[in-house]
Amino acid sequence: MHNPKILKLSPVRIFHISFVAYAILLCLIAWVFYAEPLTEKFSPYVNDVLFDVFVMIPAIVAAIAGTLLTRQFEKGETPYQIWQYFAVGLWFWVAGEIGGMVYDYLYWDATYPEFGFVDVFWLLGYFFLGLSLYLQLRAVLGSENKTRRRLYLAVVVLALLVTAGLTSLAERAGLGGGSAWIILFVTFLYPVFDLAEGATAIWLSFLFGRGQWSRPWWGLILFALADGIDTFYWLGGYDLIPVMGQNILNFISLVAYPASYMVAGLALLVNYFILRYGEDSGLLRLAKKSELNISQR
Amino acid sequence: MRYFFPQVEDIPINTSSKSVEGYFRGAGATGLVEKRISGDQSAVLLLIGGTPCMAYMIEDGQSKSLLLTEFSSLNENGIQVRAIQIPDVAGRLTLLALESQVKHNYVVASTESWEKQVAQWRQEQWSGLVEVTTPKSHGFALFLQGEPQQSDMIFSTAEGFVTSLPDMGMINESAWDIVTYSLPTSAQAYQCTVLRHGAMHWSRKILSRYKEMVGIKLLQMMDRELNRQIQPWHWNIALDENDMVDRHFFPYITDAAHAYRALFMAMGAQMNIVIGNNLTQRLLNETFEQINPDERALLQSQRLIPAAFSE
Repeated sequence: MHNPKILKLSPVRIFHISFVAYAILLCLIAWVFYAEPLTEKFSPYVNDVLFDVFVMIPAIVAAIAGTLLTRQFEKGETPYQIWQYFAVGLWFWVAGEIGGMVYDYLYWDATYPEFGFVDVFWLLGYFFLGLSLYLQLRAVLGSENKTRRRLYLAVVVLALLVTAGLTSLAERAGLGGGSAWIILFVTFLYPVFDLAEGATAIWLSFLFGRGQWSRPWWGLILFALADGIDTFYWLGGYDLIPVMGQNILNFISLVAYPASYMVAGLALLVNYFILRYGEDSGLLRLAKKSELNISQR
Repeated sequence: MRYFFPQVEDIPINTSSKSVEGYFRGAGATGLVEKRISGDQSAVLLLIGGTPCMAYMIEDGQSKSLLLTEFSSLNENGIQVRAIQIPDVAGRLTLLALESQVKHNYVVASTESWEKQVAQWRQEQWSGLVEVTTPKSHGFALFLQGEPQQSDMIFSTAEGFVTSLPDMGMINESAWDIVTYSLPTSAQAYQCTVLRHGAMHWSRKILSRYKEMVGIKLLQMMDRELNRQIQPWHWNIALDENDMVDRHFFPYITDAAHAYRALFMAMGAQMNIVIGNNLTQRLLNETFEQINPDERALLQSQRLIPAAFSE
C-alpha cells in the first residue's frame, strides 16, 4: 500500500475538486451548446470544436483512470480483465471522439460518409465495454468456466443476427432513405448495443446496490439514456410528444452524454485511490460515513 | 499418573495449586494443573487466559467433571502437583478430550498400519479426537469427516509444541499409543469445536468469493481492517488472505459466538461498502449454503446467519 502523502493533494480532496470541476464543465457544455458563444465571433465550426473538446476532457480522464485502476490488479485476477476491457472500451470511445472531430474538420461543409473508421471505434468500444460487463456479471453470479468468452461471443453474434433481422425488416418497410443495407445495419446496431449494455449495467447496479465497486457502471447507464433519447428521436418518437417534452429530452441527452464519462471517470478514480492507498486514501471513511447517513435515514 | 504433554517443562514454583493459579492469573496464560492422587487417579484443572475454568477427575482413563472447589479442596499433602503452560489449541483439545468418552485404544507399530488406520477413518468419514503418545511426544489431532484438521492438531515435543503429527519414521523405532475419543454432541467443548470449524469454513468461503470479485488488494485491506477491529478483544484470531485462523480457546459457546458475530458483522460492513448490500447478502447466503450441514445448524442456533450480517 502506498502513502498518499506523496500526492500534493489528498485523494479525498482530488475527488472533491474533480467533482466541482466536472459540475462546472457540465454547465459550460450546456452553455456552449445553447448559447453558442463562438458561433458569431468565429464560426459554428469553432463552437463545435469547443464543445467536442469539453466532452473529450472527461472521456480521456475516464480512460486514464480505467487504465490506472487496471494496473492495481495482478494479471491473473478476474478484476484485472474486467477493468482492462473497460479501459480498452473507453479508449476506443476516446478514439471515436477524436475521429468525430477529424470528420468535423474534413466534412464540415460536405456530406459525412455513411460508414467510416469512427464507427469502427465506437463499435469496438461497445464490444470491449460489453465484454467487461459480461465478465463482471459472471464474477458476480459466480459461474466460473473457461468457455465464458466463447459464450460472450455467442451473445454478440446473436445480437448481430437480431440486428440483421431488424435491418432487413426495416429495409423492406422502406426505412433508411435508400441507404445501403450495411449502413442501416450499423444504424440499428447502436441502439441494440445501447439497450443490451444499458440493461445489463442497470442489472449490475441493482445487484451491487450502493457498493463502491458498481459506480463505474453508472456511467454506462447514462450513456444508454443519452443514446436511448437519440434512438427515440431517430425512430420518430419526437412526433408524438409536445415541444416542451422534446426540449427536456434534448437537454437530458446533452447532459447525460458527457456526464456518463464524468461518472465513470470519477468512480474509476475513487476505486483506483482506494486500491492504491487503502484506508489512508480517506475515501473508505467517506464511503462509510455516507453509508451510515443513508442507513440512519 | 497420566501427564498431559509430558515434554513440557513444569512451571518452577512451589507445589501449592493456589500459588500456581496466581501465576497463571498474573500471566493471563492458558495452562493445566494436575494433581496425582493415586496410581490411576488424578485431577486436572484447566485455566483459560489465567482463569480457572474447569476441573476433571480422571480415573481408569475416563474423566468426570469436578467442581472447582472440589479440585481446590483435594488434599495436597503428599500429592504431586504439576502445572504447565500450554497454547490455546492444546488447551481446547485437552478440554475436548476430557469431555469425550474413550472409544478405542490402539498400539500402532508401523507406518503402514498408521496409514491404513487414517485411510479407514477417511473412508468412514469419521469425526473424533485422536490422542497420540510416543516416547518423544504427546498430543491430539482432531478429525472431521475423516480429515485431520490442521487448526486442531498439536503435539508437545522436547523442542516445544508443534502443529503436525509426530515424525512417521519414529513409529518403527517405538510403537505409538493411540486413543480415540468419540465426540459428545451435547458437550460445550464439542459445540465450540463445530462452531469454530463452521465459522472458519464459512469465512474461508466468503473471503475466497470476495477475492474473486474484487481482487487480492481489497481482500488484504479487509483483512487488515478486521484484524485491527478485533485487536482490543485479545482474541487469538487472525485473518490472513482467504483464511480465518482461530487459535483462541473459547470455553463456552456463547463466548465463541460473540467473537464470530463481531467478526462477521465487521466483514459484512466492509463488504457492504465495496460491493453493496445486495451482493453482500447474496455472497453470504451462497457461501452459507456451501458449508457442512452440522456446522451450518450450529451457526444457525447461535444466530450466526447471513441476514444478521448485511443490511
